[in-house]
Amino acid sequence: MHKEIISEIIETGLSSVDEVEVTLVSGESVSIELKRAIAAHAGESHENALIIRVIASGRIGSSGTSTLSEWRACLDSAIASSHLAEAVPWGGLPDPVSLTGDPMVFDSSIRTDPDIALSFCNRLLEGASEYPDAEVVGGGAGLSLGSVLLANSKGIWYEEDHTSVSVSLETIADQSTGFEYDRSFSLDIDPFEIGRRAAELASTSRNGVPIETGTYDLLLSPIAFSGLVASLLQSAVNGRSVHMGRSFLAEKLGKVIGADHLSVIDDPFYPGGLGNCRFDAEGVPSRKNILIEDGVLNSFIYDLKTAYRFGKESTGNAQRGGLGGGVTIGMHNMVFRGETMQEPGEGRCISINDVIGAHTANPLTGDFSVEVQNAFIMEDGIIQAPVRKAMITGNIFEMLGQITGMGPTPRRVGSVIVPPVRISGMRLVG
Amino acid sequence: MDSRLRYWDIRHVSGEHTGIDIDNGEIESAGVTFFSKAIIRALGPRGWGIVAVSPFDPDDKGALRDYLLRAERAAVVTAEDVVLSDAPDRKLLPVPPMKEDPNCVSLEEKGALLMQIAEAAKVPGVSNTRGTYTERVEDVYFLDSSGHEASFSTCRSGYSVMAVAKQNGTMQMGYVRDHSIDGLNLRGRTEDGIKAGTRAVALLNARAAKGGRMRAVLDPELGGVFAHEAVGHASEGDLVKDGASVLKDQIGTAIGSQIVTIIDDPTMHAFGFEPLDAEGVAGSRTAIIEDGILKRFLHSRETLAAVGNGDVGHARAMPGDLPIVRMSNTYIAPGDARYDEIIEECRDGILLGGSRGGQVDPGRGVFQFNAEFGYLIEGGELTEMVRDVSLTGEILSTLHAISLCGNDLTMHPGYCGKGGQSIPVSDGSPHLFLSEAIIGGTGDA
Repeated sequence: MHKEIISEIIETGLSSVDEVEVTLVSGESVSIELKRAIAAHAGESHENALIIRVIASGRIGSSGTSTLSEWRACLDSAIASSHLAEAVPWGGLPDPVSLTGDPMVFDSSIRTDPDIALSFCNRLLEGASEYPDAEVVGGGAGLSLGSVLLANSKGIWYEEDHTSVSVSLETIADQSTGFEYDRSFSLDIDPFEIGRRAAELASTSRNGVPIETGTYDLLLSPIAFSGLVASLLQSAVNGRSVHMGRSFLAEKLGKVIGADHLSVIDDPFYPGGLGNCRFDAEGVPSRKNILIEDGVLNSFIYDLKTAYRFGKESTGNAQRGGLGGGVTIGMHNMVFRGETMQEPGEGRCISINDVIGAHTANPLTGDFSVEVQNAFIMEDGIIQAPVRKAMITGNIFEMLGQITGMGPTPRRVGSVIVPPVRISGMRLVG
Repeated sequence: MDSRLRYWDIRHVSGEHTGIDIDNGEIESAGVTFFSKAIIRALGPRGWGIVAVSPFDPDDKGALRDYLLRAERAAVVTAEDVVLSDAPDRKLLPVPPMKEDPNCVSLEEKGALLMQIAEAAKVPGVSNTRGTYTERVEDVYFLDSSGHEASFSTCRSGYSVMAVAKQNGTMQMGYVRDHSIDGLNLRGRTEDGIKAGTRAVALLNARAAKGGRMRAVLDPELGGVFAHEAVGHASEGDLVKDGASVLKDQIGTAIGSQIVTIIDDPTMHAFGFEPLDAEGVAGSRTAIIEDGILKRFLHSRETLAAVGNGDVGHARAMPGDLPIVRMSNTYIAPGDARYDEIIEECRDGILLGGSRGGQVDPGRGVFQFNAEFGYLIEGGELTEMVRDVSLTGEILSTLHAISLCGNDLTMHPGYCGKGGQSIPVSDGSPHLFLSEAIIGGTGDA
């Protein structure tokens, strides 16, 4: 039935515009939410969304609706939207290619079964009970199944299924808090370890000591590093920000912007990556893009519109979620690589699991000052004491040059993949 | 509908979302999307069973029965003994009248008005401007198992304008936003564009602030963020109930200086106004802190029954999402100090103005937020402008450090995120003087 409606949308649209693109997203999920250590909510969700984009003389219009049967109103709205948009030298939607391989974020064994979610919750709690002084505040587990169908008037008809499994747990011991989570497309997560780790963080962060204001080496966990660096770096290599003069990196292509062993790759084929895909939101085949290689800025990322507008090529980085059903530019999996060191490295360093206020960094310049969360003073790899409170101040782009090494094991934090990162010469305000 | 359920409700929200994005003088995109979402909650013998659907068809009479059966089945695995408090006041608060209904203004005209504001930001020195308009029309329908039924419509709209200034390889930005619940706010607002542009240029020559412990003054916007982040979140009944708030067991305790009174008021006609909360309860003004004493928490029916001390009517939700305890319009009540008295009293310190956002860990009682700009205060006078200045602290010690409250309360609209849901709020404060604050900055000066 969907097939017929989509064909009808494209056919109807073509009577008044040059090109039509239709995306149909559907999904279902189950989840269980813990309040303290008790299952308090159990639920399911069912969701459909239709997104239509049209292009007329280089003007792109878009609209979306949750009600598929109301596609005519949605199409009319997309056409009206195209009348307002500024024209770009549009070179056409992509032609179909044959996509090889299986869907990359899909595990056929996953079902939206509340019993699996409940067993994950129980494992989370068992893990947390390893630290009896930490109380569980909340958490939960969820499983979801979904699919994306992308069709356009050039003949593209791509379908991709995806699955997701997630768990999280939040704990408190006195006034010390802990949080840990994981998300995967397959059942390879370890809820016991997530629960254990959440409780360990709260328990071991108790009785924090003050720290002198000064300059320190930091060991940023994958969560802290990705929270601080990933979204800012992503917007700085976004082709639209670059060409519109809103990127710190706009003039730095080919220049050294980080430590000489640092590489950052957008890899849509990373094993286990949550952002894996064979095509982007506009049907452009995904590809690996090396953004930073050996410390040198190598490339920016583009969707079709920005690429056509500025004489570049789409890098397959269009993502859904733009205003009014439009697309934005984003990464698939942002993979950080650097010189591997023994973790955490020698001498004194402050190990930081998370930060409060990462999103308050200056998005243009990268200047930031944020509060640490679950931080520990370490000496030659041995924890000396937890830090009661401290603020890290610095600049994210300068920090890329101060990376001295990375731990051996990368971790997936959403669509960022990074090991623990050691950074020298950072200022802490105690 | 089903006797085995102790309680159920449905909240269906349908509507339209309009967005316009202007980038450097060109309309990048402008369009409308449509949604129809519902959340069905059912209370089984113990906890909640929940079904979220998008789209929801209100004309399908069998759908509600089917979803309730699903919710009832889902609830089987829950173990929490959920009790709901009474909710006596269920009368819809009147939606403030629109000065000019955005629905009656064409997308083209809205685009042209936004363009004027964004273009006004192009003051000398500005290299890029961006203007964004968002409008959300929501038609809300609520029904619960007691037969309580209500429906209302709201339209929230607003804009933001950003300017980037560039000079000798450095860049800074200025940012102004305003959102409204009582009609289109795009006319006659080019001043805001100029303000954004002027601030971006001024920040180019501002030095980075030096961090450390010092005396500080917060302007009404940042003071409002303090009220919201540091106090408001920690007073949310769900966090108190689950043991995740530093304010639990503190009712009746002096948690701040005597001049501090903090209020959350969903009845106020500001951006966080709700005619009825997401559980069908009319909101009421809740004084969280009165004269420094913690008095009340913000509650849903469930958290009031579990925790006590406070008012229901504070459960809110995005369309199709679960009601959770949220703030609405949160503010520090004005005192009697004049602005110049506050600066004079600070003597040597720093003024923090505007907000780039903030975050709190309510369990640990620690907050962090960033100002858009600052001024050094030297000898009781504002001197040099500084940039990238932030404030962190422990909630309780910072509340005790508030030594003067100004007489100039103003509210600022924005959005607040919690549990993956972003909802409209406003917060505000008069100018505040803190006798000691922990200031963050990257500078040496």
